[in-house]
Amino acid sequence: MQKNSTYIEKKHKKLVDACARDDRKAQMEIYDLYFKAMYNTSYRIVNDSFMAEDIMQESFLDAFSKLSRFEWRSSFGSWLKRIVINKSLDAIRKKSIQLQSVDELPEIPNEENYTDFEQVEYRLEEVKLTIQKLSENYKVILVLHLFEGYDHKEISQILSIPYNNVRVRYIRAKKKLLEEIVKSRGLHVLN
Amino acid sequence: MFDLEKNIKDNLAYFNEKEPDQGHRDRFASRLTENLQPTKRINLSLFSKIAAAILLIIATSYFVFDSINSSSERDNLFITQIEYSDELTNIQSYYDELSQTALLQFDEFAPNEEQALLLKKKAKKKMDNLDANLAMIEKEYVKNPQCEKLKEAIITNKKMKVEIVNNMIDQMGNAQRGYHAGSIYTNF
Repeated sequence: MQKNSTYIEKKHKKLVDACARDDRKAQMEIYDLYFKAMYNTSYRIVNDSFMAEDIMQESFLDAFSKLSRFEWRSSFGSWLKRIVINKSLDAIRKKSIQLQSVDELPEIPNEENYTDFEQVEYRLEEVKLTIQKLSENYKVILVLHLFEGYDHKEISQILSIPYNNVRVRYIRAKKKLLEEIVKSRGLHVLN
Repeated sequence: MFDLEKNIKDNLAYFNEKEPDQGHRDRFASRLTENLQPTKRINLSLFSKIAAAILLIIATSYFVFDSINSSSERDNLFITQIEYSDELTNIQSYYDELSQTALLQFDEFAPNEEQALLLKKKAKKKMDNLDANLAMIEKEYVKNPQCEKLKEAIITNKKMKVEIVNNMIDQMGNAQRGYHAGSIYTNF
């Protein structure tokens, strides 16, 4: 298994090195390997297929032009994903949707007023649809943590907001997500 | 008990199944082509800058060299355009011929070809100094062609050339006869 992953890593490195030399074939190979993951990452943030494709492709071009600066501190995929995320965040900021501070976010009623969210049976499809209905503030933080696997510290760096704000915002976002799922089913059950 | 984080993590593929619209690969290929052109232009521009710098150096050198050259040509032209009287022209030609003939005798009097060449170089250096001196006199002569002292100076310059060459030949002759102990031409 490890042998296989080393082989893949070596192959990727070879491809990335070729991309740095402007090898068009290698660049298309890298595109084929990563386009789907990068597209989905961007789409989850911007919620627009046209914009997501544009951001995804722009990120590849950006990455290829900056490959000489890539130092392999992380994998190429992680580096590329970071570019995609930054561009996606820029795009939603340009849409004049400013990420609000925690204090400006609407208060979510205490958890005690609802059924135990962890006991709400949800389907993945519901999560997928509902997450897109959330405000940018909640959506972004959920996407970065739940789907892209960044921890709170990394998210605080990406969004340039304090670590504690990330934690609080994440808890609220998660509650909001589950609340919306419950609402959509008409199961708003108070204790 | 449903764990949101765990469920999503375990089913990430489900959340990553969306694909861009058809033709995205071709669209990217053409963007890649468009995007690479500026890179090439940047490289080309770098080469252009280097080439331009080299051209500038060459051009500057050429103009500096050319201006020096043309000023020297102007001086020559200036000299050739001097209108001497027939008498003065004849006197100059006479002394020029004498000095040229004397120079030819170097081969005869020098102990070997190498020495002859060395002496010719030495004589030429002295004559070049006299030519430079003559150029200055001629500039003054153009301004004042009637000045007898300048005419005399021109003739004296030509005479000196002959004297220098003759002196050198005399020295070589004496050396061959061994008159000057310690000289490089001494046969002792």
